[in-house]
Amino acid sequence: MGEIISIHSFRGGTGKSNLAANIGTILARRGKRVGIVDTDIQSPGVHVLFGFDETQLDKALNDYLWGRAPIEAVAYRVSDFATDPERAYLRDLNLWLIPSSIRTNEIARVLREGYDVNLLNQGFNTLIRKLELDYLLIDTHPGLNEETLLSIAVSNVLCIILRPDEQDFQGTAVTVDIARKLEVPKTRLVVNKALTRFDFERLKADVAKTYDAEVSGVLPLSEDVAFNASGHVFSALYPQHPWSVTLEAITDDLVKK
Amino acid sequence: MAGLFDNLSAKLSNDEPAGITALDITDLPPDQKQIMLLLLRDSSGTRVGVTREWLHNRLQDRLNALDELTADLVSRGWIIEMGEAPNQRYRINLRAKRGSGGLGLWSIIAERLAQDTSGSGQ
Repeated sequence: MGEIISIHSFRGGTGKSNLAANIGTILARRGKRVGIVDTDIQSPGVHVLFGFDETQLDKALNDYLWGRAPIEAVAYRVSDFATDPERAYLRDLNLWLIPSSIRTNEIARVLREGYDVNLLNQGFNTLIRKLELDYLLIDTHPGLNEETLLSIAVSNVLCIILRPDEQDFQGTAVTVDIARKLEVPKTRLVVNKALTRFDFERLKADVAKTYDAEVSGVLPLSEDVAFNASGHVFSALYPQHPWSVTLEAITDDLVKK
Repeated sequence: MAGLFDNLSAKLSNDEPAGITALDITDLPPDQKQIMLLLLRDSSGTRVGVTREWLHNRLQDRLNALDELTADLVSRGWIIEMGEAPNQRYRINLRAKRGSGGLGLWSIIAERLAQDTSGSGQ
């Protein structure tokens, strides 16, 4: 049975979707079968990293939630769309993206009318079964809402992203507390966008002590990653870059038994 | 037992909320929480339901009075019981996400964009 890894942050702008896309691609490049679900229905974005635009997304998670399509029919095999030579790193991967709709009326409808949360939960299990996934990554909406809480509750691994920022620190404490109450089997913190002037080992130790939780790693605020501007999956394009090497180690820790 | 979403939902609609949210599960007594998390994390527990024997095999060593606990969860509408004794199956009943009822910002934006699109075509 495949594992569910939820990528969450209490606040927006932490780099959650970027890390979800990169971790998913790292696992797929290791030969694993991976799905990435964008449950950030209000502000979807992970599709951008794989080069999808609105014209290519003719179906989405929203269609499944409205009963218009089975969940496996809204899963895009990323390699099928990697026709651009610059995205050759995505070819032949067993990596699927289940995007949320970026159409305004679809976002409005799901917010206006709600949806059956049982369906979302069943959809996660169906994806794992039908696509024979080793890992299903859930890119969540920041903060805490129904789909985020559900994602946390059903996770085998919860990866909480935070920046070294006082607002992130306080919000993350809430998420860690909820994860404990939901008895999530494995919770890991990842510090992202840390200033290079910091002592990373000390920062890691301080964060671990603050939350009494393990920290998978600390990623620097990288100008190279920022320049990439979500245009590509950075770690696949530049696997030897220090940022990518650190993310490989973080991925190792997330999937370690 | 009502949680945050129960209370907000009930106030918005003046009707009895059905089902449970993940947040509500955090507030359950330990024994009930064990049952709900087990169902939530099992593919059958969210779809076709699990049998009474399945529940007993996994929980009876840890929980006393499993049948009474299950019956209580069913009576609250948090678990759906399907079939008749002795062949009942149980699955979790997660509460539907309630919409904003058309008052949200996204609805207004969508309406205005639709008007702009139809207007530009004339």
